[in-house]
Amino acid sequence: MFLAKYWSKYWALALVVVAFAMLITAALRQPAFELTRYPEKPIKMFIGFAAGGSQDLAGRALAKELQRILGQPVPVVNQPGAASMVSANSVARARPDGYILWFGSAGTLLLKSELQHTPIDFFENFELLGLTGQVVPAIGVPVDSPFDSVQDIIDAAHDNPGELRWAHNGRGAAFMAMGASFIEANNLDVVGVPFQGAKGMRLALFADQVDFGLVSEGDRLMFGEKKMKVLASMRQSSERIVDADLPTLGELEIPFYRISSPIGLLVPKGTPELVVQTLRDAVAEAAASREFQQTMARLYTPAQHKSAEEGAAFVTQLRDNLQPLLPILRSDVSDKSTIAGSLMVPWAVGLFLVVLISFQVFAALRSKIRAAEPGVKTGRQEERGIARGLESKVFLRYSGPLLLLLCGYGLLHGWFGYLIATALCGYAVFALFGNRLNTVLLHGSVSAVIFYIIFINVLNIYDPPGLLLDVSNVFR
Amino acid sequence: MEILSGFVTLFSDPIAVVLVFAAALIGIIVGATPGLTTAAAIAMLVPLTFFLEPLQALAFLYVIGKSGRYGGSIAAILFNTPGTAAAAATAQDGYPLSCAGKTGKALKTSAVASVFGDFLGDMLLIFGAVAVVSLTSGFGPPEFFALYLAAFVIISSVIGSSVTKGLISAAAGAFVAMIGIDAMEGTPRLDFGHPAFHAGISLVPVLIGMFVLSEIALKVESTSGNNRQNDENSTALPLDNSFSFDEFKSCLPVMLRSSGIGAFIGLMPGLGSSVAAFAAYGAEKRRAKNADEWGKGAIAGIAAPESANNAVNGPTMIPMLALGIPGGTIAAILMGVFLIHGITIGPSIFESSSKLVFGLFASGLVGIAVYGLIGYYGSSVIGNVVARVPIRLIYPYIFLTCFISAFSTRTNIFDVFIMAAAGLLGYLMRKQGYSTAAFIIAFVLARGAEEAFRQSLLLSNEGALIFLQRPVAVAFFAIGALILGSRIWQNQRGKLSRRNLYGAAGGQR
Repeated sequence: MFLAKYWSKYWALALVVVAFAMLITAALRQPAFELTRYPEKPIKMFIGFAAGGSQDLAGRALAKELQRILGQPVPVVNQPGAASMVSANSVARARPDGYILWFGSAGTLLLKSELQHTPIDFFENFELLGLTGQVVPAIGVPVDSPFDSVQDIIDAAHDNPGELRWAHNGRGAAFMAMGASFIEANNLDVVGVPFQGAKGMRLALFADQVDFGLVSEGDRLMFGEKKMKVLASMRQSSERIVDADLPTLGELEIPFYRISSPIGLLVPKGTPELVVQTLRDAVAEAAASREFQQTMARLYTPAQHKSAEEGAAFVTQLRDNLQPLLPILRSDVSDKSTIAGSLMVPWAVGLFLVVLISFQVFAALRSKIRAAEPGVKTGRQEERGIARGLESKVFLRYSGPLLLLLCGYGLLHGWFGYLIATALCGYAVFALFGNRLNTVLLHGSVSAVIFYIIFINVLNIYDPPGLLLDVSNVFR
Repeated sequence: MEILSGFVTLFSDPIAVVLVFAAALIGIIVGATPGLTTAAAIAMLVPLTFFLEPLQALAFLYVIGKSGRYGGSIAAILFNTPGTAAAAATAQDGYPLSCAGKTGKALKTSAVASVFGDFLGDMLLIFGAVAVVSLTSGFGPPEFFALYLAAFVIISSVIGSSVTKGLISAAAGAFVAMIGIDAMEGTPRLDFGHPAFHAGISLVPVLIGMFVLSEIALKVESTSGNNRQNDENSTALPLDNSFSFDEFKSCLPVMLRSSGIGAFIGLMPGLGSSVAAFAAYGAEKRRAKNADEWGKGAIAGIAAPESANNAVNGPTMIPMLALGIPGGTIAAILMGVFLIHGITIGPSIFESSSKLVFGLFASGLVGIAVYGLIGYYGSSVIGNVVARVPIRLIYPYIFLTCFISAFSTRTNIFDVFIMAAAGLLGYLMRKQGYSTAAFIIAFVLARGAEEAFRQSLLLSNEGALIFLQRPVAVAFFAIGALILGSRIWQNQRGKLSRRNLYGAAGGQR
């Protein structure tokens, strides 16, 4: 009787305690990390761009082939930001067990670390598994442009120093470096105008805003000849790989530093040799597969596999070629940047904001002074004062903790992983909304399990292992 | 009539038809779920569509995008928690109507207006795609900057109660957007000396924080604070769920004009549906005879933003198909799907893949009809189901969804802290009558505007004079200045009563 009475009241609590106890025991009893067979769980491939971009599509095509070869799912994790350096950073710091891969441009990684935009380094932090292809740019001009060859551009730039404008995709980006190599090698005096990504550069050419710009080698095939003229691809050899009608700079004997953007698959340094070898073989096989080749051909970046050794040599050579360009790529030598500098707009907006806020404060003060004048009812003001006091009390009691709870959620997630953090925060937030204990425990637990299944298992969102307690392997 | 052959293509593929129906339903649910954006849902579904035929995949995602834009209004009307920035405009009048027991009326108005706008937008897409592109293809950075600036001024001056507060909200949003690596120079700025800020502040956490989290924070006060209500409003009040033909007739001119605004804005790359919704809302509010009812539950206040919001759908595809420049996030994702299926984007697409393109257009029209029917007849069911679930259970679930939405977009715990900060800021702004919507829109547009501005200066030999040399730019500046001036003048004249000002601010909550 006695037990039954308490059971009806606290059954949910009992269940929750038992569930947590089981979960923690299971997590603690897991054998220490060891490598006997590889792979024995899904391998996550990090891509530094949002879903749907060309880099993402290429990566997904590769992941699909790797999945077939390795016999384990290879879900893609999109972690965009800072030209893919955010994802490179998190992979470099991940556990080197071969279950986290990074697919991206080794060229961008190299450039960013040479320019000290990122603390990680291609050679120090990563092990190359293989290169799958490279993005080769071409020089394009607007469709009505008087220039019909690259030589025309060079002549015009020499005749009118400082007059020509060219489109690039931001200082320190790989395409920008390739354009700068052409300009530096031919000693051109032209003004660079940055646009957002390849799309931005293309738009600038379509709208006839610049004199020339960089496009992708396949753009003539992709967009036709009515929107812009593509003059030459930036290849050293005279082999026309993507577009048979497009001459190469090497063929035209126009100098440039050989810089390209090799795309490859990397793992963090320190990954066991056996795992690295397995993955290298898999990449070679995947890159050679017909499906992958077809996908890459559709994206106009032909699949050209380079093994880890060839790839490393290629990247080393790329680093040497970059050296003379580094001063140009650093922003401190920017010619016209003084008038359109990095902090100009933030300063202007900030100033505008300060002026507006002081105006608002001034107006509020004036109405307050007016209200305090004799003849105006003061009772209202007192009411307002009380209301304000109540408001801050309510904030401290309810909304403040709610927002703090969210920060706590973030921390708990780092310590214990998604499932436990969600359960704990679920209890707290259901309690905060004034639910009864049983409801709190029931809904908190149920929501944690359902959310875990939907987001982590079905939608494959990456759930990093907790620092203090790793339960991510319990449900495998 | 290529569109007829498009219908033939679509209906000869039964899987595609089924997927269109499924997409209409999924889109409404996704849109109606506060905190889960349509773009995020589509991005998550893209991998699944790799296994489908091109038309099936594209039709599925395209229709989700369409019905998701409509579904956003359900959440906005019912909970005042718009899933997208665009639906925030709908919430201004939809939520007050819902509080007054007219949930069904509000939902039906929004369904009709969405279908209307979406249909007109699609007609523009189908019949005017390539011709219309020539209108904007000559725009360079100066024109775009003028367009952005006019958008800023118009939005911040019409959105809220006071012009100053609107401008402060917008400027704050623009300032926050500047944080991170400057894309043009490649140098970090405003990073508080911490590399975590280099990647910039991304939209989703700010959006969820500002709209959803601040809403939950306000709700937790009202449900468990001062008065412990068991259930919310509505049930006790007289229900008015009808949408009469007279009401339709009175909304017709509003919907026509708003669809025009939406379609035009949809053509401009990067502006998107939020600008369209707010521009239409502002324009119609100024025109309206019963302007003092706006913000308190005017039906036209739902019809205007909803038809503009959905009229954007079709036209955003025009620059994407013809130029390869997507008009918005969803168009950008669709472009990736085109590429993976080996379809070349550009003017030639109307020759090389015309069957597929018109099949897609046809599926868009079918999708509109399906979500319109589900929305019109099912909205009261959805409304009733949702109304039965008590707030104190639903909001904690939304709270937990907020976390995973913010985390999943970049798989980054930093974004969760950003969301918390945005939530606090949004909460304070709403308490003080500042506009979170102006903040968000400025946040979205600021980087593009800055870029256009600096590009213009680099392109120019005469500095800032370049803006005066371009007639289109001058015209946009003039429009912006005119609207700002008229708003200030209106306020000075006291044409808007003080009561109305508070009403509009209250509608934000």
